[in-house]
Amino acid sequence: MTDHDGKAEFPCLEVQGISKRFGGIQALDNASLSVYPSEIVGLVGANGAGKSTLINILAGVTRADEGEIFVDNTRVAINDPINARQLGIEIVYQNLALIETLDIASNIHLGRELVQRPRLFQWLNESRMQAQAKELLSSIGLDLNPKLRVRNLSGGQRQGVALARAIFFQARIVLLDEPTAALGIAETLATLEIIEQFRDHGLGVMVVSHNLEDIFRITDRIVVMRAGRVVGARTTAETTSAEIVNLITMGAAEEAI
Amino acid sequence: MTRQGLLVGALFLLCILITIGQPRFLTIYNWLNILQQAASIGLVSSGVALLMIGGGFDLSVGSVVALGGYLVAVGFGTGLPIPLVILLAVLAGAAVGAVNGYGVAYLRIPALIMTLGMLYVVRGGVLFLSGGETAGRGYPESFTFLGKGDLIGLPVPVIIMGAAYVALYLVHKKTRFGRYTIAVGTDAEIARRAGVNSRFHVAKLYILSGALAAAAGVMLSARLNASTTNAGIGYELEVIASVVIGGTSLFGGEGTIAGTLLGVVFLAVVHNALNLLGVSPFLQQFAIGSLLLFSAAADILAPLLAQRRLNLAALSQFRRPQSG
Repeated sequence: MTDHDGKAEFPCLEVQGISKRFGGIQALDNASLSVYPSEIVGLVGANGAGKSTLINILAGVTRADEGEIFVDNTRVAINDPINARQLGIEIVYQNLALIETLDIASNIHLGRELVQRPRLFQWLNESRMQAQAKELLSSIGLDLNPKLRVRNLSGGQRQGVALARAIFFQARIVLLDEPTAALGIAETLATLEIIEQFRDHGLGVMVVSHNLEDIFRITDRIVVMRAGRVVGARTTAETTSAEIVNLITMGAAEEAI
Repeated sequence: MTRQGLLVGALFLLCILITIGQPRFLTIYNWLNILQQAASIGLVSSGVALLMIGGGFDLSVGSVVALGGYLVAVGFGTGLPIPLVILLAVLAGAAVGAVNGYGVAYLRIPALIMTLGMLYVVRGGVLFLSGGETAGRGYPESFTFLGKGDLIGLPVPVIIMGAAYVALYLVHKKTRFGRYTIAVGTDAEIARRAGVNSRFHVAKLYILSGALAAAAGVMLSARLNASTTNAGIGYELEVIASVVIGGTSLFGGEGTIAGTLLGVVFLAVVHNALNLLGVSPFLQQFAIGSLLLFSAAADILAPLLAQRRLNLAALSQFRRPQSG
């Protein structure tokens, strides 16, 4: 499915002309972008540029007013979070969205528990879920006991669990909202490494971040948003931090004149 | 875990103290009596415990107990067969729970207000329909067996309560329903984003609580061989006290079914002891209220104290002189 560049023919995720209005605020205005398999796209922009709204629409948490979404060249409707998952879209939220009172394995399987037969009582298959969680964690280089409660984990460990959960169920597209914002240096590097592994396994990845250093370290392309619009897209290897900063702030500067 | 250990210890100590003051306390007869009297409150508490683990709250249970009893009277009055009488009463309790659940989960009425309103709506409805009189008495013996009978040497209500606790323990620990209850009670929005139908799940928990409260009402009317309209008055305090003393968090997400049973037994023993020692019933309410407040304070303070210990430990690490 790849052409001579080693790039897939069509994007695994494509967004066309998405608009969303919250009362008097135009959060998204005809925004379009695409993510290819084995690619990390950085999504940057000032606060209020529309990045989170876009993520929420793709997650099925909010619904777009206008526009189309394609997954593997097929037009799709994302009405709720379950929908998004069925399409292979996984989100890693900034707050990680883990249930603190449950253990790691339960969090990874939340909403998709393995149950024993007969299915009538929805009896949990605890040992299999623990084993799967253990295997999954070690596959991204985390040596954690899946029976540990999330409450007792460090920030980096929690991020690891959130990342592991994202790739567990046939995910093809992973969207990460500020994955390194709350982490220390070592934990940030470990997280970025895991995100790069996602790409190496053929996933399409989109990372929202304010940290341009992280963005330049791992992305293949950078998409810049401002005031709900996509104002530029650059290949990471062919652009500079200064150009991206300019794209993020340019409009603001123009308007100020 | 430590909370329940503490509770078992306190219960044990209490038993020793009472036995010294009143040796009659430690007879099997007295214990079966304690458990039998605790059975209806215990049955209600089991459902409320799961509801509170799921982040809910139900003040209407006492009125639903009366509703269950009232419908027993109505059912027998119209000549329905016993199983149908019981089913109808339990379904009515579930319906009250559904109204609570709809109001809380879908209309977003605060649980305290929603279930307080239903406390009065249901109690008022039962009082109006029954004219405030005892609605029925003199039930068939095969029915009163549920409240007064013995089976393998145990009072039937105690067996019913025990079965409810075993079932809900398994639901909480072993099933997807229990897992979702913990998730929704901890953070309903996060659970929703993980694909759990949070609102519907919360509604189901209110339905369960209502159904079990009505079942307790049926059991109570069988024990008393009458359906009194003031049945279940004040249950909300006893039930919430049992659940909270049993270690369930007021903020949802945490708690155990076994702990709730311990809480029920603990309160029943306190009542029994105060009776045996001849303490005024008014002072008993005072005591139960104090125990509830004490447990609630412990629920709120324990995490804060644990956090402070952690902070102090972290600080002492920084203060440690550097080696090398």
